[in-house]
Amino acid sequence: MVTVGLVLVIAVALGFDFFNGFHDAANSIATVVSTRVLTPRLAVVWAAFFNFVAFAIFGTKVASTIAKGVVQPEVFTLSVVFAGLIGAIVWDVITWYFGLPTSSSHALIGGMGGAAVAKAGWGSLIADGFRKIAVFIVLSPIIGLFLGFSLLMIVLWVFHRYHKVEKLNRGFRRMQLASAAAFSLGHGANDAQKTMGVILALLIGARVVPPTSNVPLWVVLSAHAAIALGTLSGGWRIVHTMGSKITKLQPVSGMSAETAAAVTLFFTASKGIPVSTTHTITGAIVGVGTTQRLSAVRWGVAGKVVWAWVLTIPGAFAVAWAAYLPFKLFA
Amino acid sequence: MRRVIGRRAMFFWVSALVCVVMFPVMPPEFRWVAWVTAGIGFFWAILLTIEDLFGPGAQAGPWKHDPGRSPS
Repeated sequence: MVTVGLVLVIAVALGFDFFNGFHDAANSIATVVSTRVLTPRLAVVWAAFFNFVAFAIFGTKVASTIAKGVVQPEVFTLSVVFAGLIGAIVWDVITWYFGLPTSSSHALIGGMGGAAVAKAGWGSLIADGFRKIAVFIVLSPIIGLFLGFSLLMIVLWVFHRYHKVEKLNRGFRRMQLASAAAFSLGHGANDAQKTMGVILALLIGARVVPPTSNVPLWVVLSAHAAIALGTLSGGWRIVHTMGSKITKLQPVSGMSAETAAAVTLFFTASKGIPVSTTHTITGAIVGVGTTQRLSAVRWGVAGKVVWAWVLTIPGAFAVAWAAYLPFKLFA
Repeated sequence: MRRVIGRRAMFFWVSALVCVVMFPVMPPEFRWVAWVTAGIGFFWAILLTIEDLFGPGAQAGPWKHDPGRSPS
């Protein structure tokens, strides 16, 4: 049954998606901005467009994982989802303020988990779902790292005898437009689907759609639109960290990093695995940085990023758990 | 001059080993991802190790004392 509460919580979910775009999607543009392929303004428009059109290319497997594979579906009520979203949003705002590129995806998963546990105890969590997400927390940046390193090494080997450096750089700048577009597609496919999953869980819980339902088209379009609008609203603070503080990027390395990250995201989206686009692009940027030498990577900054990763799920979990308590007290 | 494995090669060895360690906890349908990722990591770790030990630019590591050299 559609109620005012349902509509409000869906609006909060779309608001989270907007914040995701604001917070996470800057990853798509950090490399093209730091290598000066695009101005920041054009870069956000470019990324936002491809965030939106991703709905036409990828399925909704990630959304299904979020809706039915992480928390027992019957636990999802308006109050649980609302508290989970509050946990994720508050965590995102905190890390945004400190300029740390943490994962909105893991904040959402942590938030949902915290609220679910507050309502129904630890048995409400689906162990296999969390296991799949946990292993890819570790694997996705490593995959990005190895692919980024491999791709750049292959490119450098192929072109090592080519002497027209300026012409080569121009070529890689154009290719970076394609790689940034691919990464934004992957980001849109992965991150918008998480919000779709949350909304689907809400609709199932409110008996608006049957439990076997796929994601309705209006949910798909609104989630992608929300993330695209968030991207358009900027995220420059995080762009600066990702693009230039971790390692210095040239067009060829920017292109390699984005392509490696995009390939990783395409694979995980196709398999229904919710991963962090932040983790993945950071791993890829570290990977291209190590083609020079290990000291080319500014490990102090990368270290802060790792700490933010470690704290995200527990942090969002704790905030969501606390956010649910008033509902429990007054239920 | 004694040649040692550089930090970059060690980083790749460790990262590849992390993938191997993940194997038992991976969902069965995704274990091949851990193996493929580890394989790529080991491939580069081996090449970087060979470069460090036998390449023209290899140097002794800062933490290794070469008994054949007098301290500067």
